[in-house]
Amino acid sequence: MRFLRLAIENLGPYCGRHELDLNVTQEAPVVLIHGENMRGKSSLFNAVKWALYGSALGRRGRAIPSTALMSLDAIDHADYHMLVELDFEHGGVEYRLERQVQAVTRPQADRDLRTNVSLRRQGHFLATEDIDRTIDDILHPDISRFFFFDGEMLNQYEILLGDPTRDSDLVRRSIEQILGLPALQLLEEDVAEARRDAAKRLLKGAEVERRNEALVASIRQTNDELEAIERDIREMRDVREKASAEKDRLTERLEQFGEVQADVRELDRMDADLKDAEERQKHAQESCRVLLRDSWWMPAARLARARAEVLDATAEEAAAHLQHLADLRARSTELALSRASATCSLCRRPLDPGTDELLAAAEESVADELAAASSPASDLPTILAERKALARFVSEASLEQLATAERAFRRAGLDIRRLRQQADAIKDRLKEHDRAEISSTEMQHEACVRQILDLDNKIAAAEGRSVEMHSKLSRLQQQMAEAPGADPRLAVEAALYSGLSYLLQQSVTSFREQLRVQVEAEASDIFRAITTEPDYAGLRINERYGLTIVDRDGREIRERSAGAEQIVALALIGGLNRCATREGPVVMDTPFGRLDTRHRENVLRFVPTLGTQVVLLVQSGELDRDRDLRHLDGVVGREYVLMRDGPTRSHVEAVH
Amino acid sequence: MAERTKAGALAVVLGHREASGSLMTSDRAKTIMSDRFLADLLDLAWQNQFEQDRSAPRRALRQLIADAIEADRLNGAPQ
Repeated sequence: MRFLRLAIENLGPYCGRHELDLNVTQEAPVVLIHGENMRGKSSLFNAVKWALYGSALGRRGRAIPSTALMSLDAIDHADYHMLVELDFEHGGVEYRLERQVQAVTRPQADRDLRTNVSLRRQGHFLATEDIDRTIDDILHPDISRFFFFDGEMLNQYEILLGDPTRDSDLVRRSIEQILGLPALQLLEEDVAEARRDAAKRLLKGAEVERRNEALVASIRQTNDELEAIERDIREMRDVREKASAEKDRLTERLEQFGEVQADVRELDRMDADLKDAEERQKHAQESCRVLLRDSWWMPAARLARARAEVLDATAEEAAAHLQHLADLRARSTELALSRASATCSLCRRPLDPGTDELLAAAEESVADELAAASSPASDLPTILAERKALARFVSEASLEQLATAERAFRRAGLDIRRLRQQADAIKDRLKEHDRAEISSTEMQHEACVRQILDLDNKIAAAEGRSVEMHSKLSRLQQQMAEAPGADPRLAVEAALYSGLSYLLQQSVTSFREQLRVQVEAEASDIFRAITTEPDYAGLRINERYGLTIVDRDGREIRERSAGAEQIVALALIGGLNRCATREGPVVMDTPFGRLDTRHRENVLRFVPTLGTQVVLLVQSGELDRDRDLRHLDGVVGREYVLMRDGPTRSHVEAVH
Repeated sequence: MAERTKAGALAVVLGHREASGSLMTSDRAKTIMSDRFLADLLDLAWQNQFEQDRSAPRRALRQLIADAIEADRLNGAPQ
C-alpha cells in the first residue's frame, strides 16, 4: 500500500478543502510535514485513520467522536460536513477512498451525523459491503498500529519494555497479528473442527453395518482420547505461558534486587569469613594457652640460656683440663717404663749411656706439671647434669611456636574487627530492603523454573501420546476405509484432516519461534543502526516480546534513559514492520520528542528504510529544518508546512 | 516482506510434513498433501487471517480439501 493523495475538508483546524500530494518515489520515500504545536499535525494523522477505519484514537487509546474531529470554524459557519479523500495504490491497483459525514443542523454527537463511504478501484465503485473487507485485506486495523504511530504509542511500548507482564497479552496478540501467526492458528482451529466433523460423518456411515461395531467403537474411543490429550496439551501450554510470564516478572524483580543481592551475597560471604576468623582466633588462643601451660618457665628462659652458656664453657674447660692430665700421666708412665727397661719406649732400641739422666729430668718435669695441674678442676659430671636439666628450658622451638600462635591470634583479631566494620556498613545499606522478600522472590523464581521444566516434560510426554493416538487413529481410519459400507472418499478426507491437524499443531509452535527470532534479528539490526552506544550489541526479545538491550558480552542492560527506551521502541516497531504480514506506508506523528541530537540524526538516517513510504509529522523542537534536513538529504519526496491562520484554523503549504 | 513471512510459514509447514506423513497410513492422503496443496492451504489461511466469522473460511477449507481429493481421483488414485 502507498498513499498518493490526501484531501480534507472541514477537519480539525482545516476549514474548507486542503490537499496534499503524497505520491513519492522509492528513491525519495519521505513526506515531511512541519507544524508547530496546535497547527494540526495530529488532525492529519487522524484524518488518515478516520478515512480508512471510520474512527481515530485519541489519548489513552480512546476513540475520538467524529463530531470532535470536525472543524469548529466550519460548524460556526453552518457548514456541517466533513470529508476525507484518500487515494492510494496497492498491488499495482489504484483506489480512491472517500469518507464523509454530514449533519442537517449543528451536530452535538455522532448520532446527528450521516456517514457516507465509498471506495473506487481503478475508477469503479465497490459495493458498500465490500469496502471494509477490502480495506481490512490491504491493511487491517489490528495491525495498523505498527504503521501509524505517535509518541503515545511509543510510550505504550516503553511501558511494555519497563514491565514485560503489563498489558503483554494485548501487545503480544497484536504483534503476532502483524506477523501473521493467527493465519496458522486459525487454520489449525478450522482444520481441527473439520477433522471432528469428518470423523463423525465417517463413523455415521459405518455404524449402519453391525460388523463395523467394534471398529467404530475403537475409533470413537481413540478420537476421545486424542481430544482429551490435545485439551491437556492446550491447558498445560496455557499454564506454562502463565508460569513463564511469572518467571519473567520474578527475574525482573530479582534484577531490581541485583545490587541488594550483591550486598546480601557479600554479607553472607563475610559471615563465613567472620566465622573462619573467629575459629582461627580461638585456635590460636588455645595454642598459646597450651604453649604457656607447658612453658611456665618461659619468663626465665633468658636466664636459663645464660646459665647454659656458662655451663657449656665450664664443661669445655673441664674437659680440656682432664685431657691435659691424661696426656701428662701417659707421658710420665712412658718415661718411667723407658728408664726401667733402658730401652726406647717407641722404637725398643737400647738407650745410649747417659740418656737415663735426661729421662729422669724429664720425668721430674712431668711430675712437677702433674703436681701443678692436679689442682681440683670443675666437676664435669655435675656440670653436664645441670646442663642436661636446663636443656628443655632453652629450646628455641617453643618460643617460635608461641610467637607464631600469638601472631595468628593478633591477625585473626584484626580480621574480625575489619569484617565486622564492613558488615556493619552493608547492614546499614540493607536496612531499607527486606532480605526475606529477596529470599522469597528467589524461591518463587526457582519454583517457577522447576514448574516450567516439569510442564515441558509433561507437554513432551503428552505430545508423544498425541503422536501415538494420531497414528492409531490413522490406522483405524484406513481399516474403516476398507470396511463394508464405508465411504473410502470420506476415509481419505478424515485421514487428510487428521494429518493436517497434527502438522499445523507442530507448525504453529515452530512458526512462532521463527518469527520471534526474525523480529529479534531485525529489531537488533535497526537498534544497532540508531543507538549511539557502541557497546550495545542488540536486543533480546522474550516469548511475550518483552525487550532488553544486550551488550557485547551478552549482558542485559536494565537501566535505560527515556531516550534509550524510545530508541528500543522504534527498533521494535521497525523490526515488526520489516517482518509484517502486510506492507504499508509508515506515518509517524511527533516521534523524536525525547531524543538527543545524535540519536535524532541516527533515526533520521534510518527512517527512509522503514518502508516504501514514510510520512513524518514533526515540530521544530524535534526537527529543525535548517539543522536536521541534511540528514534526510535526497530522500524527501514531498515537504509541507502547516501554517497558522488563527487559533482554530490552519492551512497546508507545499515547500517544493 | 509480507511474502517473505508467508513463505517462512510455508517452509515451516513443509518442514513438519514428513513427521506428520509418517503418522498417516493413507497413501492417498499423503499424496494429496503435496507442496502445491500446502501452498494453496497457506494462501487460504493468509487471506482469512483477519476474518472473525470463521464460517466462510471453513467452507473454503472444505472446498479446497474436496477439490484436492477429487483432483487426486481424477489423476487415477485407486478408489
